[in-house]
Amino acid sequence: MSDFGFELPDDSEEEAPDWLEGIGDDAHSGQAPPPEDSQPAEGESPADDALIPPMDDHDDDEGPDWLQDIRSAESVDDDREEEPNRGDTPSEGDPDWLENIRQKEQTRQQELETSAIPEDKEDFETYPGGQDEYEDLSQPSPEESGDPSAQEASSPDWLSGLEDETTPEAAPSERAEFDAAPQSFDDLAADADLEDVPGEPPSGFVDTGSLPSWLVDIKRGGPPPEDTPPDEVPAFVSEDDQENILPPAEDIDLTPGDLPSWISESPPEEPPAEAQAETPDPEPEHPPDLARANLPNWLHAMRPVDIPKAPEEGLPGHEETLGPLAGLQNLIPAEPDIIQFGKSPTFSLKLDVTKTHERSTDILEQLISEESRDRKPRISVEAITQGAVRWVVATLLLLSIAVPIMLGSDGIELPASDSPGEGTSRTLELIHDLPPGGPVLVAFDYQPAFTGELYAASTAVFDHMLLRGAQLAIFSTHPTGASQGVNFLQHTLAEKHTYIADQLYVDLGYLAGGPAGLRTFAANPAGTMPQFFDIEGAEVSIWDWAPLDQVETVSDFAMVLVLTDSPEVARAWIEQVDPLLGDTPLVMVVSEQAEPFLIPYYRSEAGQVDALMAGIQDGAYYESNRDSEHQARAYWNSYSVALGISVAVIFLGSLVGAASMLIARFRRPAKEAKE
Amino acid sequence: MTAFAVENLAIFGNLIAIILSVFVLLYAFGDSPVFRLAIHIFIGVAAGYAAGIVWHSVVVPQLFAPMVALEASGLTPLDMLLRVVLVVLLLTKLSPRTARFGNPASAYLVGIGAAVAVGGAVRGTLFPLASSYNGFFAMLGTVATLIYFHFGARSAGQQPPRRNRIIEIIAVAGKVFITVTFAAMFAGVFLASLVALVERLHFIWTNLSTLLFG
Repeated sequence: MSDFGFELPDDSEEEAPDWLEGIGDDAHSGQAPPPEDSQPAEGESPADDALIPPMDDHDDDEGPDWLQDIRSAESVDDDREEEPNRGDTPSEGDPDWLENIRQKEQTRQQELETSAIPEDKEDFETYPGGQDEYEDLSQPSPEESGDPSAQEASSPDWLSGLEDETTPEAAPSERAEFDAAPQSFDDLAADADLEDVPGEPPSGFVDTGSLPSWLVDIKRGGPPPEDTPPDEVPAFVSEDDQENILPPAEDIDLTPGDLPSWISESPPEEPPAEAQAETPDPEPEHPPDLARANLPNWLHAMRPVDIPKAPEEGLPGHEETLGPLAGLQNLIPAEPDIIQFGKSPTFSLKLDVTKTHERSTDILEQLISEESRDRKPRISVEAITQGAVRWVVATLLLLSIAVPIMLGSDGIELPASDSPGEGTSRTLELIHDLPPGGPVLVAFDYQPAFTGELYAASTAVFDHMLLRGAQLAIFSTHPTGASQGVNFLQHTLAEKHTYIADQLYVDLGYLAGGPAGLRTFAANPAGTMPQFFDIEGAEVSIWDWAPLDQVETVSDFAMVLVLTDSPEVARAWIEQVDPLLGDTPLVMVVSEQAEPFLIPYYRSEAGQVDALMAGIQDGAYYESNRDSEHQARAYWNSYSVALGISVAVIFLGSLVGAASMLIARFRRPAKEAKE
Repeated sequence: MTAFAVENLAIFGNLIAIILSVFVLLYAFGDSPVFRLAIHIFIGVAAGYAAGIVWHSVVVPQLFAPMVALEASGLTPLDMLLRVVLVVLLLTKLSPRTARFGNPASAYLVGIGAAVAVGGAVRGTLFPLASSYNGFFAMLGTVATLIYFHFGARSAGQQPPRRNRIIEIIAVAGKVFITVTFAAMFAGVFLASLVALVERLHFIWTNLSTLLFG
């Protein structure tokens, strides 16, 4: 622990300042102090030596060896011719500014003694900025430089006024004003309650930059004088601080254990005789008459007194000695490893770009520039081949369809009427057995894209039903289905059958709800799809119109015909409506893509679907059987040619694909063998 | 509207139909802006038409008409109130803030739909097909197809993990069923598309010849 209450860094001993090492060496080895003409160290003014009172000699038996050496050196110096006292008598080597200071001090002392300042007041309080003056004393005064302008500029007003006072030309009024200054300052001190703060001396009154007492003692060659009365301790030093002040020099045990290691570890060296001869007396004895009489009290109070022993860390009385808070007391000490006073490190804003970085930057710029550059897409051979094949296939397909249509001949006969499909034959039988004028429920449940296929498949069926006198009720579970049904009845079959809307067929419209809607409709058609229409100005429900007036459930229809392209829709009809149909036949005309999924329902023993027709082929069968020509006949030629071309293209493509696969399989081992 | 106007309107409509059909058929030679234009027109017209159909075939006869003539519709006030409440709750789905209020109506619809679909499938498909003479074949195809998608395997020593041998054999049968099914589906789709292409080209040629040659 240091005197300041915290651990000093380890290198504090190693990196002690030179002046401190010099002092230590001098004190330890008894070497001579620096010559008088040398420049004073920082914080040490030339006047310090003169202001330090003489120290009494200690008993020669006490003290370590190095102290004995110093004393022996003093005894040698006693034999020499005693030099004039530098403290009072100006020597030849003293500068002029020091002489001026001495004169001012003497004049000031005399004036203070004659002034009306109470004895219990501190001398320094009579001088505003007295501490500053003391600090100024340690610096070379402008007067010393001989520059009058500098002197006027640097000296404060109160100092200049003080100087003017010392001059005989000073006016009496100014003198009186100066005499009144202490009272006014006293008032200021009272206003500031400086005296009400017990035990807290102004921080500026202790010269923290001065040497510690033990170092001063070493430099002087002995402890402080014993005759320093305790009552001369300044009033701002509290009693606690007085107790912490180091005891008199005779009570200090200067054993090596109390000294810094760098002092105690240094071996004592005998100073060279030449150096001893040239070394002046480090602390010449003061003449008795000049010991303390001329020392002002305020300056005496500001002398480098013994620094109180540093209190425990964190306790009141700790004084900061470093940094901007130096001199303040009762502060929480900071960790010395953390606080480091000094110039903050500066970081260069200039980028440290190496050649590697430049190379990487160039690569990145090149990549970005290449990305923004327009590139022509690389067309592979496979893409060209696929495009060509696509064009060839499309052309063949279009020609195979368009040419038979443009020729318009019946070049390809319809399938033989004696070999129709099973579903087609069953449909013929069911329609043939329809009662005359019986209601038939027709559901147009397909997408518009399948209109052509379902027209070709169902035109002959509708023709047959209408010839049998069936009365149709059309509806759909698809929003566009009912309108397609109306369009089919009014246009496709308009040439052969003259329909009168709302009399020969009924448009029930759109049935919402999907399977649930179908289930509800099958149970209660009239309640599910209430429709009204005008007949000669009267609003009549379609369910009151014959033959629907006899329909209460779906089983009351003579037949149910479903046209759909979706297996799901067909399955919904089978699952939801067929169980409620009873003996009413369920006939389905579906697209080719839905047929595979509906055949099991048709061929099952339950017979859920009574008749099933699919696509243009069954329509052609029906037309052939009915010996009529409708949509199937119109499409049959193109359909047959295009189907043949398509089969050929598919077969050829399969062959090419298989051949290329075989070639690739044979080439792979050879390529791997080469590699 | 006179017969002349109707005839001209029909010709104009057929002309638009020809142009749109050509736009769609150009897709055979690659994607094109005219194809996209035709597709957007079809989708827009279909959506608008469906909205109109729903309004005239569902909302008006099922909701507003009974409100005007409750007695004639045969509904009780409680039935009418229930319809209105369900409709209002469904309309709350339009806003995310009030969407949760429509959950009861949605749950009602989903529950009814699921019950109808499951009941119909069991009674209309599962039992009838299982009791038919080819029910065993259909059952075998269903089980084999499901086993084909079973990929559980065990590793024996250093050999790679393999499925059980019985599973492997049944999976091969399932693979055959799947291949046949996909082939039939592809054939049906191809035939349906081919007929649709024939119908369109026949329509184009017929109307063009009528317009050009009278």
